[in-house]
Amino acid sequence: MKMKLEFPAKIIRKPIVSEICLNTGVLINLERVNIEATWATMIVDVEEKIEEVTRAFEEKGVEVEILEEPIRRDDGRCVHCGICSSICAMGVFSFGEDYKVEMDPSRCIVCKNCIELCPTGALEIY
Amino acid sequence: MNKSIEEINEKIRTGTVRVVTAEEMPNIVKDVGTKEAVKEVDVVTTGTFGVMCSSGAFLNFGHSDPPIKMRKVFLNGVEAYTGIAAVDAYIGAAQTSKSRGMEYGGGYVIEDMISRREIEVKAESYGTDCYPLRNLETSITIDDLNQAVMLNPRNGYQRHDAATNSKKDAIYTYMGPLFPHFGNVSYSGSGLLSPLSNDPTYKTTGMGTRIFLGGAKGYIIGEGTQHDPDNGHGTLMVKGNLKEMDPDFIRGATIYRYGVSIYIGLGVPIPILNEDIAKSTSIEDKEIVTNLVDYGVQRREKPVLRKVTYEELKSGCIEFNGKEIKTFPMSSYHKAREVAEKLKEWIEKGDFELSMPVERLPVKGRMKNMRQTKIKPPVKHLMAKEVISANQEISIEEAAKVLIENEIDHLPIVLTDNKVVGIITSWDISKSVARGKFKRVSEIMTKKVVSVEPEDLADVAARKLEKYNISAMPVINKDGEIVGVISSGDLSKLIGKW
Ligand code: SF4
Ligand code: SF4
Repeated sequence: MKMKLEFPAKIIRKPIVSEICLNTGVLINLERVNIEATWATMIVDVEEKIEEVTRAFEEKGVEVEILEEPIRRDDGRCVHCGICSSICAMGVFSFGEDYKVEMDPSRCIVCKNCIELCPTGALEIY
Repeated sequence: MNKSIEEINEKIRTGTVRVVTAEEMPNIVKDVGTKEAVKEVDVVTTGTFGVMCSSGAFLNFGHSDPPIKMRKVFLNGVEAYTGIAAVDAYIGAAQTSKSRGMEYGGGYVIEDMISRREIEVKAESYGTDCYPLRNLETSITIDDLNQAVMLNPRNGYQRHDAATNSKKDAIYTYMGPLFPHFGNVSYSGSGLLSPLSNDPTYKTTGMGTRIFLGGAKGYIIGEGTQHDPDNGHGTLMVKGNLKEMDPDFIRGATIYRYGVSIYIGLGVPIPILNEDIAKSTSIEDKEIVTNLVDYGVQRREKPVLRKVTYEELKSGCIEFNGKEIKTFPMSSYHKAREVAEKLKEWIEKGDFELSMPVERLPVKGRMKNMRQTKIKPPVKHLMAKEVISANQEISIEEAAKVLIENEIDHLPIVLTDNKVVGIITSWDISKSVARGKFKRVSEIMTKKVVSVEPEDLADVAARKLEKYNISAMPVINKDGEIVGVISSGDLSKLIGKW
């Protein structure tokens, strides 16, 4: 399950992810990390004990958002060209039956590279 | 056995016509041979669904009261061409929006019209005795127009080069994003389904051929612009009634960092009149060859790297220099199939009869290049050849001294063999002094150096300086050695001279 974590300024410097890994014994995979002067966001992938991990982050002051399907496609606009498949390194898009572009949104790490490259504006991140 | 169009149309009327798509034809010909195929099959339908910038529509708005002679007209903020009669205009697919730039444009206006959405119209004029109105604002839908005729000067390319990029920076082209060092390959066209690939000598394709255009009936009205049969690059000029089109087969598009365009679904039916035609419609992807071209070279003549078939391109991966490169299409094969299937359905249902062209497309001729009376010189004639560079072992103080003594802003950092490994600017030095913890230039230099080649034209260099927002860059030859430095100052000297 992918999660978006938002760290407020005062806790950016703390090793929170490591602490939670140690305390819960859950492996946390960092997929995207953005650290700025006053805030930080991370996209992480957590395989088990989702609720426990969420609670642990929240107790430390981290805002947690579960990304069930972070990327969405307007199927009425998609023309199944496949440009998105060339840009997405996570393999969210692939050609399936009848040369349709199929999606596996659970693989998305919200890098947003595909959004502007989709010629018909069919893709959206929320 | 030979057949005539009239015989085929009679079969369409009586519901006995046999129609197959260009995807089905190869196997039929393989199984029964061309002779039997002529007996069995009456029509082969083709289809393509791709980005076709050379498209647009003529619109007639009817007269306002008091009347206006529109000198400029904007449809949802996108300018249409009005250098024709008072309330006629041509909306071009590639025109960008005045306020939204590449996010919206002519292609989207056309899609919105077909989807029967309201379009905001703003027009300006200078006022005449017969057309006194100077400004007009209104809102219309396509049904309010007298005519809305799609007229596309160039669609349905017979063959399109596949594109890749040898250079070290990603480029964003009309062939999509091309990643550095042959990172990917893009291609366009539907291969064996492509209209002109199935009739490469234009036996049944020409002025007056009835076709599928954007989900409605349309016509080929002649050769397209840049029609280049000598090189196997034929093109079509087509028209159709926008009011009858289907948003499923027309889609406004934005090609990232390139511009606005439109996806168009186009299909041409091919009557199987004789064995020759049966044979040409049995073409397969492995027989359709195109050039893999290096778009990294920003010149008109781009190096052809190898020949490549549509079978390879469609497989998702091709081999180049012993490496596998991922391919991606700019056009939609899924949609191309829908076009060919839909056209097949129309003919089978008796809704679409075939027409023989009154004139075939020209089978001879080639595309000319532009006659340019002034061409700006290549970078090698403009650059400063006395290159001041430094070794990466020198200290930051020494580098600062070199910059000041020579009154320069950029200092390329090289190895002993003149190969560039980085560049520093006076700004890098000030930053490092402010932070105070660095000693050698190698620690603070920019390692990803933006550069040009000596043969690149002045405009290519100017575009690069602008793209990366820098004022100068080294000129590096094919062996990676520095041979000069080009600055915006060197380039601006050209203004007025060339
Ligand atoms: S790039 Fe956009 S239109 Fe093309 S397949 Fe992907 S989502 Fe669909
Ligand atoms: S946002 Fe990034 S990871 Fe997600 S689908 Fe787009 S390119 Fe792939």
